[in-house]
Amino acid sequence: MLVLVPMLLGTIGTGLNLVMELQTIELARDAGHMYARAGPAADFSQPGYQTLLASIGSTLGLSTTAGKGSAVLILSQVLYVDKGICASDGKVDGSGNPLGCTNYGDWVFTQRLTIGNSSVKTSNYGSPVVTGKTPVTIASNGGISLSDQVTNVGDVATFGVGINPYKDVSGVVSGLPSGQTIFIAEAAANGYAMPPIVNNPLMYSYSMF
Amino acid sequence: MYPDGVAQAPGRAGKAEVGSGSVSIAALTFGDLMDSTPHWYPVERKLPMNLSLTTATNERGLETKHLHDSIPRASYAPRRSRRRKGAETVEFALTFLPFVAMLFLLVDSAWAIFAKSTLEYAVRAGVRQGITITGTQATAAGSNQTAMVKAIVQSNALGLLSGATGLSEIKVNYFLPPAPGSNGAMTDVSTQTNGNAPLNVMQVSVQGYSIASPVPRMFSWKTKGDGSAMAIGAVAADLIEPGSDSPPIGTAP
Repeated sequence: MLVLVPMLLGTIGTGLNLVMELQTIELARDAGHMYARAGPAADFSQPGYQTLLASIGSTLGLSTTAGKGSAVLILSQVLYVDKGICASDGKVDGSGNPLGCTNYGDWVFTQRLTIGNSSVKTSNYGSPVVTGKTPVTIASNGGISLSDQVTNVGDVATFGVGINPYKDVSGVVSGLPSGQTIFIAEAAANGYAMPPIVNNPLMYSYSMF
Repeated sequence: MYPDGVAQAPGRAGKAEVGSGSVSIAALTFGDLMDSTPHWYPVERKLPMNLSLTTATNERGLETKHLHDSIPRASYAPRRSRRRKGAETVEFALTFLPFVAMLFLLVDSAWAIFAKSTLEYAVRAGVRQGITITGTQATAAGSNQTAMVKAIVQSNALGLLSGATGLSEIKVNYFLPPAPGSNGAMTDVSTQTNGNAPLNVMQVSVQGYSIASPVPRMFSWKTKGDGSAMAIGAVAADLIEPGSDSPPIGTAP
């Protein structure tokens, strides 16, 4: 019994967490695809979209109320700051080379939306720094100004995972086209805890488009 | 030997006698049998029929007693075996019932987990394929978008949603997203002919599906077992792919 009971409870706990992980993957996948497909036409800060996302993640405990529930969905758009982005904010010299373009060569956030309980997990790609001397200003719809994207170091994302930035070497263009953003959806949820067999399980998944 | 059959007190000299009837059981201690310091207690018990007591005097004049058993040693084996079998039955009953309860709990949980994950996969597959269905495909199949999505879900549900009953538990809803800047909710346009317009939201769900519990679930000894069916649902949603070849919506949800 001393062996069978922990084995049984562990099997059940692991099974429940397996289902929750599948739901987390599905939430990240669905949210990411809608986020990317709709593009600027869709505003995921709107209650209508958030209600839809909450219905997909309802069994995970995703709430539309900030700070509530046991799950979180983090939507981010990241952009590679190249000469073209610097130029769009006027941070270039007469030859078109970056001048005062602090974030040149970095990936920066152009939008950040957090739905649900943000204390469940923070983004694996960092977050815009909204405190300190030069905080990043995030609008109500999650948008971040071009000025912050180009010059505010607090807006730089921890992002270098296999995505080649835009390159134009002797007229040969490779990587992500200039100005193109990457849509990231990260979903995380507190799993089914059953100490000491399963301690503080955290379900996490992300998708990029 | 005393006339009433009481074993003679140790230490008295005498001839060897064979006694029967009653004896002080306490006197038959290990010390007595080993011919060392004898013990005597004035507690008298009748000897069993198969036992007899032999009293003898050794060379040193000490009285010794020997207990004889008329039943061969081998004859005790069946009796002990029967007693042991009884104990084994009780132990088996004590462990078997919790074991069976655990087994049923495991089967119940595994079945629910399997059903939940299967339905999640089925609705996800329905949405993934459903948002890409074109009018040309629907015409070729002689069907419509809603019916085709339901068929996809049903075929991916590993038989859990078979038949007309299972089909009725699959719901396909279409939503019109709110205008940018609006705080309004999504509008359910499932019953409209253009509800499946590109960039509308298709939501596929399983509603009303339940699985019966193999045995009542016991949460406490004090409360009655819960034998009710467990409701399991699944939902997935995505934006319908843009295109000019929209299929007929069919009867939704």
